[in-house]
Amino acid sequence: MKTPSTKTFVILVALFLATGVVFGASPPERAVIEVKGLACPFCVQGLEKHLKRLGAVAAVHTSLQKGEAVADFKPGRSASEEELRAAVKKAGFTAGRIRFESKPDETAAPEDADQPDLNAREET
Amino acid sequence: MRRAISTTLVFGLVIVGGIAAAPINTDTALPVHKGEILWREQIRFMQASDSVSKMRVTAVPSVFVFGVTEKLALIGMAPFLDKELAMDGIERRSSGLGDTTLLGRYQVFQSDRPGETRRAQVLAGVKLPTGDNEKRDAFGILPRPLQPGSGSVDGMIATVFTVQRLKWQADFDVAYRKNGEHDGFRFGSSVTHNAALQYRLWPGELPEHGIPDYVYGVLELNGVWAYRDELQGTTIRDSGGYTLFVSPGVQYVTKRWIAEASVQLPLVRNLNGAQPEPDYTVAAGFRIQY
Repeated sequence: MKTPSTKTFVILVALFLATGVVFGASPPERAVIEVKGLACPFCVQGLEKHLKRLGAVAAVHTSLQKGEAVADFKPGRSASEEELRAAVKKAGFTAGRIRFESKPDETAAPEDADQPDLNAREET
Repeated sequence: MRRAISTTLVFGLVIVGGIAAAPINTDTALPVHKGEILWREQIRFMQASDSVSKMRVTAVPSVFVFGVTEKLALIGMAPFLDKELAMDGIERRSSGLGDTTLLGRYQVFQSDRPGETRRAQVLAGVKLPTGDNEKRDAFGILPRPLQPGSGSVDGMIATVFTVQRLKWQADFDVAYRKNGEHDGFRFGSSVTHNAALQYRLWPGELPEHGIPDYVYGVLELNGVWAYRDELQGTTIRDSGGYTLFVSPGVQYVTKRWIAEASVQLPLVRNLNGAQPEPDYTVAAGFRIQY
């Protein structure tokens, strides 16, 4: 019986790894939105309401001090940058930088928590 | 001696100030978000007097605002009024729904930065004669300033500019109201100008996370300059003039609602002829957004 060559073995391993990468990739779990023009509590409700109206957004956490809103996505779902910008505009404000993030793995060792989030991607 | 009372000076102040996160007696250019419904309710108690007469007005203006887009808002305002005039030992009184005001507000300028916004808006609208203007009492038909309604259709335009930062907010507005004629009588048209400063008294520092409630200290200057009233095309000498109020106040601001109170004290009372002069106005109210 003919045994697989080293070349064939390498190709199979590469395909396996590639498949794992593709199927293992998950959508971002939250978006951190810089909101320009937001300066008082009474203005926050409109912003959070419009972000929550996006079907993918489960919760919104706003910080006046940081000038940002964090939109937590529902599991397996996410909103596009265009959708987030449109929601901020409908609320009467201007979206600045939008950063998509995945939450750190809660089962990871404590020292891993300080490592940079390799899944984070930033869009402007 | 015939005594006139400038309706604009006494009742013009019934017009409430802003609608969004605004000062108490001044308008604001802050946004009303698309689809937002905002309800503002106030009670305003005003008194004007001189040596022989005293007039008291309690007004409860209800304001509803709808955000058509993030730039365009529609505003409707209708006051319930209770007016009381004591003069020459006689007291006369009326109460009822006043005239309804409908306004459109459009944002013409917006500049946003982190923690700061600068905006300008223009407003235009009409006041419709929905209030009764033929009320009577035991002495006959009530004088025009005592009627809940004016009977006339009035037009108004205004502009407002706002700068808001995390610690403070400043608003400036100017409005012109062109009063129509009814039954040969025209209340004097008017120009109002307002300036307001809101300063966050509490909390001193903003937390990194979450939205704290604010306590704002508010200081406003509210001015009304009114033309003389006209009867059959002739100006009435004892009407119109200029009044400037200083208006300290306080606001408690949350994400959903605002509670507020203010007192208006006259700094300048430069009225034409013999008229009761405004003594003070006390205002308290709330606004809720949906």
